[in-house]
Amino acid sequence: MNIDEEFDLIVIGSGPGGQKAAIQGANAGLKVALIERERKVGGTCVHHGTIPSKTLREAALTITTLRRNADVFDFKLKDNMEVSTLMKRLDSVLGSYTDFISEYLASQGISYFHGRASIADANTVSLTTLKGSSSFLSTKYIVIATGSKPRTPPDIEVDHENILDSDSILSMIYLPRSLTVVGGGVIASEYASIFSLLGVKVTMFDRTPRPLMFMEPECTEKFLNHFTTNGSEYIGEAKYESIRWDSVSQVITKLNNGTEISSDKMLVAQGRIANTQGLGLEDLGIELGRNGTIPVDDNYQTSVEGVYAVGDVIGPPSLASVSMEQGRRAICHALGTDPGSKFELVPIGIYAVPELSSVGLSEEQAREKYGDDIIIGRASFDEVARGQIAGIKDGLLKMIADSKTLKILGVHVVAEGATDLIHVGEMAILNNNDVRVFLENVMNFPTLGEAYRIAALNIITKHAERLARKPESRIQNLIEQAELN
Amino acid sequence: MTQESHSTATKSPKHIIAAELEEGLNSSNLELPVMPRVASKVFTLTNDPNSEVSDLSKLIHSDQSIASHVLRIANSAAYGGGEQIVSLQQAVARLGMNLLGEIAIAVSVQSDLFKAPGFEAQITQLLRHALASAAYGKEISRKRRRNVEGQFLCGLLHSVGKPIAVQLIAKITKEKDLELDKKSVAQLVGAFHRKIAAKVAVDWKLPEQLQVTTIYYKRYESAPSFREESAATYLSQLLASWIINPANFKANELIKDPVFGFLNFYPDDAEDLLNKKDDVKAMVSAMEI
Repeated sequence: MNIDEEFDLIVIGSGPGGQKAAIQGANAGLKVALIERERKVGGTCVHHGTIPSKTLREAALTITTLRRNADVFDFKLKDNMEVSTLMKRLDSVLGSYTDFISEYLASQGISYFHGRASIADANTVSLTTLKGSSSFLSTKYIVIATGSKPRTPPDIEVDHENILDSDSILSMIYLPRSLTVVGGGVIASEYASIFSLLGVKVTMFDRTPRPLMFMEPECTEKFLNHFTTNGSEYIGEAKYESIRWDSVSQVITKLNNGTEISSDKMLVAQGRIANTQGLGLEDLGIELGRNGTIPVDDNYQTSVEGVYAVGDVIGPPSLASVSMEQGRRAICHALGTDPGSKFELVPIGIYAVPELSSVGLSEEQAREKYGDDIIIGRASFDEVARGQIAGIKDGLLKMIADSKTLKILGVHVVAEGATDLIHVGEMAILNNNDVRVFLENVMNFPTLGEAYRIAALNIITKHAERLARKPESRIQNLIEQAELN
Repeated sequence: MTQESHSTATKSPKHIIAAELEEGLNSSNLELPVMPRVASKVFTLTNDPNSEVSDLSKLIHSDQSIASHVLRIANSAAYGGGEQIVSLQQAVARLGMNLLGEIAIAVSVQSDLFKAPGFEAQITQLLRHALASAAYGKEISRKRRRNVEGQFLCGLLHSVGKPIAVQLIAKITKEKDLELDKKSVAQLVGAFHRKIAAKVAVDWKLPEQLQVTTIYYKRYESAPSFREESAATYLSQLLASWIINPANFKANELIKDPVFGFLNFYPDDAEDLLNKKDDVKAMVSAMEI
């Protein structure tokens, strides 16, 4: 095999993890090649996932605002609303974003290749272009960041016409009248709530008792309240027995609890599978895990030395933010530099309607770790002036603190703006702050951030009540603490 | 002799017709066909979230020509499920609302819209190409993991300006008692079909995606929006031309068209698409009147 060009680092995939690895490598003085299979940089996150769905979400929120002020704007949503009308800004958003990334990668001296990569051995990558020509690139290190695609269960026929996945749902011409969503995870909840807000009758079902099981139950309860208020429904602890297009106009779903759901369209959101096809991993001796994911060690190195994998291709949490950090750490390990202490605090952001976000310990985790020595403070957004002004009244901020030190252990928010708001809590946890930081410092008013002050005050009040009480028997103490929380 | 008739006498028939078409388009006085009644209603019904299958079934029942074609298509090899279909209700059950809508639009566009005495062969050829583009459009969308409904209509209507141009040329030829050879007809159609399509797309209130792809499919890279859909429409009509006139193309040359790259189709993806030709042909012969 003739080597056409030599590199120090080859990154396969230009999503958030791949970009970060490439930039980290280039900044460290490596000669870097970035190979992308698609026409434009950015990966699924930019082209099929995060950005398109958020563009639709913003349109849905704008419509909601207009509806809420219908008397002012004389607003009525067209009956046959074209989905493309709701996604008007997408082309310009994507154009600006991909142009920026491309220019930045070029400015870092990273060589960009459009084509399919296959790993010939730990130091050689073959590249096949769109026109079918092949070349071989040599390298010291390889980072696989090829992302994932929607998983299609074998017993559901996704035809991209009536039964859709998260790739094809956004290219519908018109909004359907009804939509069944199979799944209760992030993608299912985001799309279910967005389409529900747009007036589509959505039925979401999953085997879990509530959607977003990994989020704080109080937050998902608020989410579900909002979802069902729009006329939609969540069916928990249910599995499908059969799903079929009735060849007429409806997708018919039979559940194991006897329920039959009929809808115009269906979204199948049953997880994702790693994009590893064609990479030649089997020949390299890398055995794949569940859903085709690549197993890695703590340094994101695969079973082959010098070959790393980051992002969705290694499995959960499948967050762009985490993928970037994984990419950075992989390069640090390859170069033998200190990546800093391992990140333990990863905020989770779910762009449903309303947004949900979480950082630190959940109540359940805090109880496991601290027993009953925790205090929980809550701020309902109808107590927050800015929430009243902006019409964000059904939100909740839940703060969990150590009852001895009042240090903040976790923050959980459900409300519009939650994914931004969470960073305040994240910084407080990282700085080992106790809840008084929100009472003894000046914050803008009126802002949604006031919820932190209200929750902190709630904790201080409960703490004072605890201190004022005489020592009781342990059982009595437990009862009272449970009541106080 | 008036000045107008003098100039008519000195210009070639092709120039006279070109001037008429140009003037008509610029002044918006050109009498364009209205969207076929049934097609228009089907279009509305299939896109109306409140419509029911029974509404579509009733509509198809109301048009004998379409009803008979729907039955024929439901029994064709491409769509047949073995059991003989004898009623429209059965056809509805077998084909589904969306497909039925597509068939009804395709049939009504073929039967109602384009009457151009003396130009029947050209019209038939153009419509066959449109049907093949529609069918290939679905395969392209499926391959790209995009929603397939819209691309069918993009393919079907991308060249709607051509049969309308033929029809208008036929009308002017008759009114002015002119003689026009086939080459001149082709030149006039080539010169005017895009402008006509642009006007028709707006007049017929087609969804934005169809308006854009109809106007920009050949210049897909400069489409203001729906660039990939425009490219998919261009590819669908290219592949349609290939299956209709295979002698004019070499498959290995065809897949070198830049549109494959624009849509990020690698050689094996392109091969997969070419291998769909028999399915597409079956769908076209089923839908053709």
